[in-house]
Amino acid sequence: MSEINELIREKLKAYPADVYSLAIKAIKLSEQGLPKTTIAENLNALVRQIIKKKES
Amino acid sequence: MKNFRQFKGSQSLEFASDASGSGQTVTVIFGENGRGKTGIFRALMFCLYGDLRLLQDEGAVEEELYLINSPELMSCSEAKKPVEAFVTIEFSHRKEKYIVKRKLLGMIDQGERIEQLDGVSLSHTIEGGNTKNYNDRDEIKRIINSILDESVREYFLFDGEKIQRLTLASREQRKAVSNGIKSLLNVDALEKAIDATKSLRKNLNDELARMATGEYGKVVKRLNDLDTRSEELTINIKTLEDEHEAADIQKNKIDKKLDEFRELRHLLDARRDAEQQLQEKEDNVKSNLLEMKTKTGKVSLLLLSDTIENVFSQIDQKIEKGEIPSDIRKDLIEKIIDEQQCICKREVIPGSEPFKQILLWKNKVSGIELEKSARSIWHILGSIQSHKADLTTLVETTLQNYAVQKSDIEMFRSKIDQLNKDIGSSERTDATAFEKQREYIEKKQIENSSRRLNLENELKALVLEQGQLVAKRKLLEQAENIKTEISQRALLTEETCDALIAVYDEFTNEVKEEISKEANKYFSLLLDKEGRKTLDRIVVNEDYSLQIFDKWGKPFLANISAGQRQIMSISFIAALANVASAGAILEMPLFMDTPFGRLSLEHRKNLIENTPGFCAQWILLGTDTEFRKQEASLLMNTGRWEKFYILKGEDAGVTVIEERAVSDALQILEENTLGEN
Repeated sequence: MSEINELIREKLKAYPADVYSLAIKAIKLSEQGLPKTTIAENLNALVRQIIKKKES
Repeated sequence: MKNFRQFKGSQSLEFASDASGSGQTVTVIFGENGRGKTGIFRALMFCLYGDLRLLQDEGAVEEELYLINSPELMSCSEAKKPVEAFVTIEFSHRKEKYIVKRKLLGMIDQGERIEQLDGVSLSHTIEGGNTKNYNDRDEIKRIINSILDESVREYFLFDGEKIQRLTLASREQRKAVSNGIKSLLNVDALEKAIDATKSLRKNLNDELARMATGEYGKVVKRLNDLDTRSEELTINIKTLEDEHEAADIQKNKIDKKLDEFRELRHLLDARRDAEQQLQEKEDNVKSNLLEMKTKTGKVSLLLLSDTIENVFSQIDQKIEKGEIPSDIRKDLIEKIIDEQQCICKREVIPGSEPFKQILLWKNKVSGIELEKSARSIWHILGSIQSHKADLTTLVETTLQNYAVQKSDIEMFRSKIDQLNKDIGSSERTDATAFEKQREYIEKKQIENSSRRLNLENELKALVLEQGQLVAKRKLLEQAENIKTEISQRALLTEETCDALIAVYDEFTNEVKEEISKEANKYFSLLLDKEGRKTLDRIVVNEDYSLQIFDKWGKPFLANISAGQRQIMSISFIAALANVASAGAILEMPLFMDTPFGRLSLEHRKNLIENTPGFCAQWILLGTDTEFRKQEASLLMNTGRWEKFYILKGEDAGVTVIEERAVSDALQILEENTLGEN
């Protein structure tokens, strides 16, 4: 149902890029049917990357 | 299909679609009851989702639901050969092609019928021509669910009888609809994303709370505590909501029972009155008996009334005669005899006539004591005599009352027996227990609501405090230049979580409004003239349940007819699909099994004329009673009807699918009618 995701995607574009990236990642991982804890771990890894990139 | 249900051997159908751009997207599958129309629907459900039973099979014994063709099974059983059965569906979705095949194997072994699943496969060809094959059941399930989630499949592949369940207000139905819709619109993925982000936020805040110090540390710790408490409150509130709903279900069940009692109410009331009156009569009888006991002494004198009368008369006579009291006292007479001298001083010689007279008197007169007793008895007996009439009346009255009471008691007992028979089994008579139970449930609900309100208020205050503390934390981070890696991660996660929640709220509100708007558009097309006079609009509620309002703005769902409910459901489905495909025509087929059963002619006309316009494929399964020349004619006039299949019974347990030209439909239906006549 990519049309629905598009709507959500468009709304999320109103937020800062980092927030947008993390939010989209969270939705994509959810669509894959992964368990909540796995999604949280993946997001944590992405958050680290984003912060590390900012610092460097 | 091969050997699936009535469809012995290999048989197939091709549903009309707009592949050639003709706009002809309607397929009609026509057959009498028992010919396998539902079998085709069953084949779809089996192949796509592995369903072994349909909703309508509720209550049926598992072992008696056969999917493999029975005659084929019987004929192979003699040769001890297993029977292969399968259903294959080819379909396209977003220009990609799918072929799903699900197999069964069956045999009869020592008189026992055995059917078992024999695997499923899916072939997926993308636009470029590359094909990928799947054999894993779970993976295939995931792919199919991503196209049409099983929780909403009923809404696009439905039985006309069951479609109205979509509009029923029970908790389970609302939850099922809500889950299905969220899945269809991918809102469930968004919800899951929010949950996962919240979980990450909590972990990061925990870590931060352990490391942070000073004012900043206090704020972070407090935020953490609030987070934990917020989760607890949310769970508790949800639990209370669920309990409240469960209590509503209980109350509804009790109300249904009480409705039964209301029918019996007049009988129950009559019985209660009769029992009350019976009790009064029995109490009166007891009083009567007591009264009779107390008067037994007096009343028993009536048994001696003759004797009393005799004795009284004798004494009375003696009194009249002057014998009581005697004219001469006995002791005086004895003195005269002893002294042989009269009181006049004359000598009384023994043996003389005067002496004999005196002896006679002596015999006649009583002693003083005896005279006193006699007098006394005479008085008493006289008194008894004078009260005899009253006593007699008393006895008669008392006995009469007693007899009447006894008679009434018998009458009431008889009446109660009859009422008991009319009322029936004792299970149905315990209305009081149900009423008490209902009162108790209501009381608990009130307590529950109060607790929930307190928790909700606490949560509101908590969220407010959280907002303030988040702002404070940011300020402190800026002021104290706190930019530890962990605090930055926590902040980013916090912001992402907030963003997802905001988008979720906005999106779901917009979607619900859009679905409502679209549903009303279809509703106005499908609803008949009469319905349009009363019914105003459909609304999708917060929990995705449906409500319909009348022209006066009042909720009206409970009052609509089954046909109107069906129209409402179809409108909702069309709206849902429209919104889900973001305005494009519904890509999934609308598959309706006997949809016209509950619909009036105008509704049927509206449905036939409008449905092809809002779905990519419309497959109608109809019997001879509901798909008649009238419906066929209407459908022909739309120019959308391309395929016509007839299900013909060949032998016992065998149906053959025959494709016929649409142009022959009217004649075929005419022959069918004549055949009946």
